[in-house]
Amino acid sequence: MVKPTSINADHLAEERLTCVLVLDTFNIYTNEIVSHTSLPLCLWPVDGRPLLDYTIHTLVRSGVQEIILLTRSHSYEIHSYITNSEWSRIYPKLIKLVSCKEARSLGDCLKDLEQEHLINDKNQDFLLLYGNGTLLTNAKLNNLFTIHKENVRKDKNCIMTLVYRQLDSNYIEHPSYTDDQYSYIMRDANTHRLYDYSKEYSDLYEIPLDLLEKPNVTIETLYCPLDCHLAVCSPDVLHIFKDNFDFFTMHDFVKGVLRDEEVAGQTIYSYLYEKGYFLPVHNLRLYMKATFDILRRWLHPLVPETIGAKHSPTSSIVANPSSSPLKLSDSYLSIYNQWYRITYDRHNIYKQGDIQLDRLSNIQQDVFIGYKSQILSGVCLRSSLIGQNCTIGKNTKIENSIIWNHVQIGENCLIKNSIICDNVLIRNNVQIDQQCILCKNVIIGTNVHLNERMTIIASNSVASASVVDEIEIDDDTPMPSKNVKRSNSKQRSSSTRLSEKSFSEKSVSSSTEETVTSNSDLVGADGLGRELIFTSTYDDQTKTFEPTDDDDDDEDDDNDKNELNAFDAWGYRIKPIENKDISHDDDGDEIKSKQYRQSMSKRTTDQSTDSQTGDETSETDDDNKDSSPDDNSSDEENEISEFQQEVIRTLERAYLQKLNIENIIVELNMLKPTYAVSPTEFDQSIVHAVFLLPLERKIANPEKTTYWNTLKLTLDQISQFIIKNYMKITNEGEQVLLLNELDLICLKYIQPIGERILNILNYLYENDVVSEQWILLWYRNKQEKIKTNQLEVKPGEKVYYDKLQQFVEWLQNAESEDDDDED
Amino acid sequence: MARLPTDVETEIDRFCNDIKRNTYTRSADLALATIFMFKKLIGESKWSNASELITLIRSQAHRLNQGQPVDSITFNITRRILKLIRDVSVRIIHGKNEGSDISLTLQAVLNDRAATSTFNDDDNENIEENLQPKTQQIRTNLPDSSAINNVEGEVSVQRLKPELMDDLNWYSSDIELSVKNLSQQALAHIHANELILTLGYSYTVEQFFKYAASKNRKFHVFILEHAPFFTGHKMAVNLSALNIPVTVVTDSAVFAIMARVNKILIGTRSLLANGGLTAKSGTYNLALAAKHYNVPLLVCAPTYKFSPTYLPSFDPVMCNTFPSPENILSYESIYQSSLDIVVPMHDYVPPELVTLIIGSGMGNAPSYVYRIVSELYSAEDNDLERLQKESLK
Repeated sequence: MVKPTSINADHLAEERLTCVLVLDTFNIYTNEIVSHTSLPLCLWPVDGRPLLDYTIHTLVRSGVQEIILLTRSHSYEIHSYITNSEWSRIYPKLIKLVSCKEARSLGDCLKDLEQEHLINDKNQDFLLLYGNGTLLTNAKLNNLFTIHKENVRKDKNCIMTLVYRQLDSNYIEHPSYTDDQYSYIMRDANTHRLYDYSKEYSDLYEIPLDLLEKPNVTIETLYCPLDCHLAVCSPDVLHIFKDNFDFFTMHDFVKGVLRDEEVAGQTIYSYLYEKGYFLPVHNLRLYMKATFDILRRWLHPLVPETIGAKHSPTSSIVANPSSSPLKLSDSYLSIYNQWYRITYDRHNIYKQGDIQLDRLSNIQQDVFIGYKSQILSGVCLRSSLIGQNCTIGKNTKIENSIIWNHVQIGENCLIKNSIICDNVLIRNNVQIDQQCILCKNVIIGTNVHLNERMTIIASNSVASASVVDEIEIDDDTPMPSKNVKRSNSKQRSSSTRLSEKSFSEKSVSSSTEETVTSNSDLVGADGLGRELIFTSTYDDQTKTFEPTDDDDDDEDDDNDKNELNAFDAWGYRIKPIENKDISHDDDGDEIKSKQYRQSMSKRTTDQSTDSQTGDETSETDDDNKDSSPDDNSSDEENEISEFQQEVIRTLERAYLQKLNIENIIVELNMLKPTYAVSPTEFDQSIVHAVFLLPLERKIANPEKTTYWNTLKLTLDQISQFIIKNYMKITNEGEQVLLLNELDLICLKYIQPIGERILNILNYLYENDVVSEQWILLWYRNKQEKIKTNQLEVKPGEKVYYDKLQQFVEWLQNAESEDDDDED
Repeated sequence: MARLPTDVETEIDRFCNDIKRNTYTRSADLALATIFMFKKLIGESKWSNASELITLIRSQAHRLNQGQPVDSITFNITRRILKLIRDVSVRIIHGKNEGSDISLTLQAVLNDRAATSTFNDDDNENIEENLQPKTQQIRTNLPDSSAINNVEGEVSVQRLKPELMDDLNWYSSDIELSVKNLSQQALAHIHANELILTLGYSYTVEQFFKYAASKNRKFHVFILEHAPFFTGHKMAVNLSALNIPVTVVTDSAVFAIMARVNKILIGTRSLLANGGLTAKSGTYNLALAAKHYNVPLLVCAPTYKFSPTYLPSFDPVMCNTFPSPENILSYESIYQSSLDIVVPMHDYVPPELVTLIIGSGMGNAPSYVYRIVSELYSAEDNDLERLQKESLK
């Protein structure tokens, strides 16, 4: 008989199937491109519907009753799409949106989710779709819950089942494989329990021998299966993500859980699909592949003519008044609220509503033509998506390309394997090669030839309006590059946006000639747009590729953070900068435009920045010069001074708020990995911070206290303990380092600090912060250096050396007295 | 004016989504779900008389069939329900006595005459126009049935609803029993020691064989495997579980094996008004081979598969569905996105290749299908799919 569908039965006490979608790739390259297209990647059009729609269809089909969307950027667009879509009307309780604006990684998102308490049932498993959260599949996913349940039943420590799709052994050539999907898995052939897991690209893998010796375990290796970016998780997964703040990606998580297996006892299982179509769309290459695969009906029964077809809204439906302001807001989204009949024709040609097709046009196969588009005579289309209201001029040829809405393309153009976003105008005789992206509002002039893999953005992008407050950050100001790394994408976007801004300012202030010349190299005299280049991230890349001989932990952290960003938006592995020159044909152009851009922005900075920024720059410059003892590159100086500033702030706060010593130490320890400084640099910074902090306070109100009094105050309260904690009295290296640093500080600030060296050293000695033997040793070395003329004593520094000598003599006397006493 | 409450509206949308996602595996399930849906619509929406209800259902009909071929079951059910509403209202107005019967038969005769003289929908209309004066004449002769077309407007909810619900319940139980009724004719068609050929899996055909086997009829079944879906394998397993001797044959061997076969028994997706079929892909080959060897081709078709439509053209893309190429080429293959693969699911078989159609009641020749169709559905509802096209423009 008629069974009520599972959705209708959601009020029953049955288990609710939940799915969590994390709608962000956390890849800065992708996000940067996405920010110029007005729609988040998950809402990019795929054959008339947004990508996300296909995933939701799959989930509803699988009987999922609750979908939680975690959004980072573009949450407004996603929200307004969901509220206006048929989903919120047909299944009112189905979709929940959680916005994690601050999140920088998958881990952060899941931490936010944990705090929302949306998944609070002890036994509620959930599906987790990460990596943009858009999985296209025609399989029903509900059996995954039973598989996971079965795994848990057999092994109660199982917390997660990862889902893969078997690929041909010749994985590299498979069209669904992109570099960022590289993975290597070792699992039990019978139970499918995961034993080893790696995503790092390498020619050589070590298999731990003890694995092979395990009884009753048959080890099986999976080399590059298609990672569905799908996992069935127990609620514990969220807690683990919360407890381990260094789990940024799923890779970190799996590695971490496997590493701690002995301690925590948690296990991870895997499941390998051997049938069905699976495509996790998280980069542009897969987005294009998804579009064409759907046209080729791989996703049946989720095909355009059924998914994209719905009745036109009848008058009986009363529109929700609260949703109306949202509706007006985004004209790009409103496309999705219109429904037209899609007819399917032979050779996989889809026509949406009324279109104008010239009799002499040649529509070959696998083509989708959107509502009200015009195809003129002689046009040749093959494997392409044409959006709504597009015009394709005479004799133009388009292959394997995706063209969004309201695009106009002139005559005799040739477009291959490219993505062309909304409102782009392409004039006549343009040739666009493989894998170009033309973002919103770009105009390409006549006779222009765009080379492979270019990203063109319109100069006066609307997006720049939102970051006016970050004007003082520019590529050319000596901004610590560590800072760039820390706030990855945010920083990235702001810097490019700033340059945009400078462009627009330029065009306003001076003649329009400048703008025209700026574009003409690339997009022609009658074009508009410039190339998007990821300058600072290339620098960033080189930094991580440089062999760092620091602490191992730090290096690991760096790799983890950059793991996602080692791939560009197309899913290609980014080569280290050394190889870049060889790999790019159009490198000359790139460098030229890069230089041009930098000079442009420099000029504008000079013009526009106020005196305050200038002061700041000079100040930081001074700092760098003085503080770093070694001959490091200026970048690293910046990093350290930045870190030092942070330590000073921490100490100041600690002092003012009278925090507990232990807490401060924990806090300082946590600063260490965030800035990725080496232990030596860290110690140096601590010393600097301790002794410079009182200086700053004294500068603030000089009449009240002297430097020594303030220093003594802070030393009494906290500083001595911190120094004691980090520079153990028994450790020679640390002690000498402390004294060296102190020496440097004193030499730099002879006036307030150097003259007080006697008091300082005495205090430190009295409080057992430094021991006399190290002082003497250090002093002896120093004297030798002065004698051999390695160290030059300037006249101003005389006071300091006198005082130092005074102290050392006293110390020696005291020692001999002590000796006498003992004797 | 008739209006849909929002919960019915969402119910319809969910039902549409279920259809889109191929939730219903058996056609009977889909038919029952459609009736269930209409019961809800009739029961919970606001309407004051029968004609309002009819316009309401007609306005919703195209939604149910969105993205589906014109001969789909939901269309048939919609038409049948409209017909039931009309019948019930006529019955209420004229009482259950002879008077109404006269008018009903008269109308049936008129419709029949219209249908016999044409093969095409559009012509049908013209001829109906030609017949209009005649109809008027007859109506003037019979004052009882003068307002036959406006009868629905006079029937109020209170009188119509209970009777209609009874009819709908009867209709759904009829559909439930249709396969059983159909299979009970098995002994008349399957004779002892016959060699019967079938194609792929069909629930109806399976039940048909099952009944014959349960009555100890001895026969042998050849099953075409129905590549690339290979539903024939499932059929073979199910039949051999019933101790019926089974041989699975590849589709390409259909001509070679035809000489040995006594009879062909197949199911169909739908039965068109001219007696033609839209059936599983490969059926056309089968039918042509059968014609060549003069082997009778019997088609099992429950009543709800009778469709009043014709194929708009012989274009194989119409009335067809194209599922995933994965049926032929594995997704694992590296040629996955470079090969062009077409997997049609259905075939159109013209009526002259069909010998007999086994309906729920009795066997009929394909040339008689139009007659059954005109009894099942009201001619006024034949324009449903045209309505659908117009509504989307």
